[in-house]
Amino acid sequence: MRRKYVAYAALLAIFMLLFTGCDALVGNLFKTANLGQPSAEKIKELDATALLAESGISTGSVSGTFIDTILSDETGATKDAVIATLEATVAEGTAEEAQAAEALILDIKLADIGADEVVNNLGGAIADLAGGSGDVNPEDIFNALLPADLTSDLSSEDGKKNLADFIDSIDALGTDVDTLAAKIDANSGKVADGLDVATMAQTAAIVKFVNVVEPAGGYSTGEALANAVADLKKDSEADVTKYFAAEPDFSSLVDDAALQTLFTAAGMDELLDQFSGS
Amino acid sequence: MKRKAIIVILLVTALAAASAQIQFSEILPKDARSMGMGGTFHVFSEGYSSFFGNPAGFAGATSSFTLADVSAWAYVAPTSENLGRVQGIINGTASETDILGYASDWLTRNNGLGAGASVGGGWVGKQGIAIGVTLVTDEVASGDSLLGAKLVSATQANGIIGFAYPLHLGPVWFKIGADGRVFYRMQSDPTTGWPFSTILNDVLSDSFSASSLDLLGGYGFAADAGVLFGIGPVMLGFTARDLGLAFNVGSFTAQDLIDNNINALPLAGTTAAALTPTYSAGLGIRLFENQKFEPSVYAELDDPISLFSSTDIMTDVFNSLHAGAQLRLLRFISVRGGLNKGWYSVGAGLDLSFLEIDAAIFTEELGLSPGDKGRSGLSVQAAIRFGR
Repeated sequence: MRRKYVAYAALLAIFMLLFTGCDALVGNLFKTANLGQPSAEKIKELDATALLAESGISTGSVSGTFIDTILSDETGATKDAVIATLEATVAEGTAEEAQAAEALILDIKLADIGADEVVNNLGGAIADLAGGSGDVNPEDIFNALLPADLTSDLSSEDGKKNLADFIDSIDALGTDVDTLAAKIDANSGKVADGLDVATMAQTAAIVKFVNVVEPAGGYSTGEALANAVADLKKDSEADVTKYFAAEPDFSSLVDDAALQTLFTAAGMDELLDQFSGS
Repeated sequence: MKRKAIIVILLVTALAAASAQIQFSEILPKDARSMGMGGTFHVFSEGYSSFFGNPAGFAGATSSFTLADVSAWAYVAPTSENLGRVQGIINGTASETDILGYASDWLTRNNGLGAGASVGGGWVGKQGIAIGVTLVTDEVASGDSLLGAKLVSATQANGIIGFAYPLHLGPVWFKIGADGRVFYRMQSDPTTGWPFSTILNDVLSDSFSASSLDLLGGYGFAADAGVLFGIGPVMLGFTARDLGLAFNVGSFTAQDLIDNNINALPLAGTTAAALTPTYSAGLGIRLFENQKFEPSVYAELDDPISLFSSTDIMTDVFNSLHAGAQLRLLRFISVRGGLNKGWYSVGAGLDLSFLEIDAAIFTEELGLSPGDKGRSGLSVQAAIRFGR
């Protein structure tokens, strides 16, 4: 009798685990019911110290929910208020506060334009592309790095414009990257405790990759790259030089002061050399 | 009187000094029983579980002797895709590039990658006296990207002596308990950790050297205390853990440990450290105890003391709430479910005379609000235990 119960129990346990599966466990009831969630109204009123604490920026991993809440305010008032508060800290705070505030500004802006996905994709893309043999197909790079919804409809003008706007938004982050590096330099190269400088260095590399592009007359950086991506997706041998004033000099990135600061702070000097192709 | 005052002043000074040192957080085993119930069962722990939970739980109705209690857990969502990946790594079909890709994916999607284990044994007497030894280790890599990920390694061995006392006042019962521990803590720097990407690349290229892994180690003393009271099946409880004095840690490397084994462990370090105390409170209902149909439900709050200074109590309650339920059938089958700050968990267990086997799938919250950063994993537990 006992043995029969054991069999039933084992079956029950296996059945339960199989039925529920892990996918069913990857939901959060409280979040779905909006319980215990941050509020945009409250975040708007927070001072810089509270913003930095509640964002988790100094724990090495910024809170996605916190940033989503800021960006959920469709009027943009919460984002503007938060960035204004953080910018004041960048200008007047201690070295550590200024670094954390600038890093948080970057994270908010990245998420706002959807470029956080590019940063997330970068790690996997490096591994995938490094593991391949022979020449790298440009389309593979675009598919590995860029959000799928931005590269799936490049045959239409709207599709190209969306990608161009996205790239131009990344291009505009160059100033923030430089400010962050300057704040680290001002602190003798020491990064504030808990900041994930390695991930910030990767973000900076993406921004600087875009910054180094010189579009031909009549094109913005985004338009030039979007057109080039569209052409290369159609034909990997396509001549895209017409979109650019000069061939991008990626090897110059190794001399970029901001990248040097961030990659050195992250202990990734050698990787910077590889990024720039030297 | 004067002597007592001096002792109190010294203790307060020592505790105040501790707050300025390196802070080590508690390493709790992610045991299947607790994790299957949403991370509850710390306040209402019983028997051996009370070595990690509420010392008041030592005052059970029966005694138990745990010859061995072994738990193992992994922070990898047990999806069919991940199980296939793990299988590929084990049987060698996954390339280095695949492994780097998997690691990157696990880190960013699962908010962490790692594993842990605990092993221990002990005796909890009917009179509330408890003696046990435990060893818990937890190795977790986390970060927003593979390149930026840090690996934090933490291991602690404990020798514990505890005592709990039950009281009955009419229909109300009380249990109060405390334990004292001598422990040895060994871990990487809790803030900077180890560079996970470098370690992984070195391991994959066969150039890994354990001499690059710096560790801190030292011994100390800590105390835990708790109280339970209830009327019939309804229980309330509170527990405070890791009430420790400052202790000193010294530096060594993982290679030292490999070369010299236990002799590498520093006993007279000069860097001050302290354990971070934790507090939990809970409400539980256990019906038909020791009957063939024994349901129980638990709700526990982390750090309930902070709620007194909260400006938004409801939000903070949901940010620290664990809830779980267990249905024990025929005195040997248990099925469990819970909400760990809103994340679902499930588990099941068998209690076959002196052999107990439990398993759970869980997700736990690492972020600052429910649903922010869930880390999934699975846990299995086996114990040879005489008595409940």
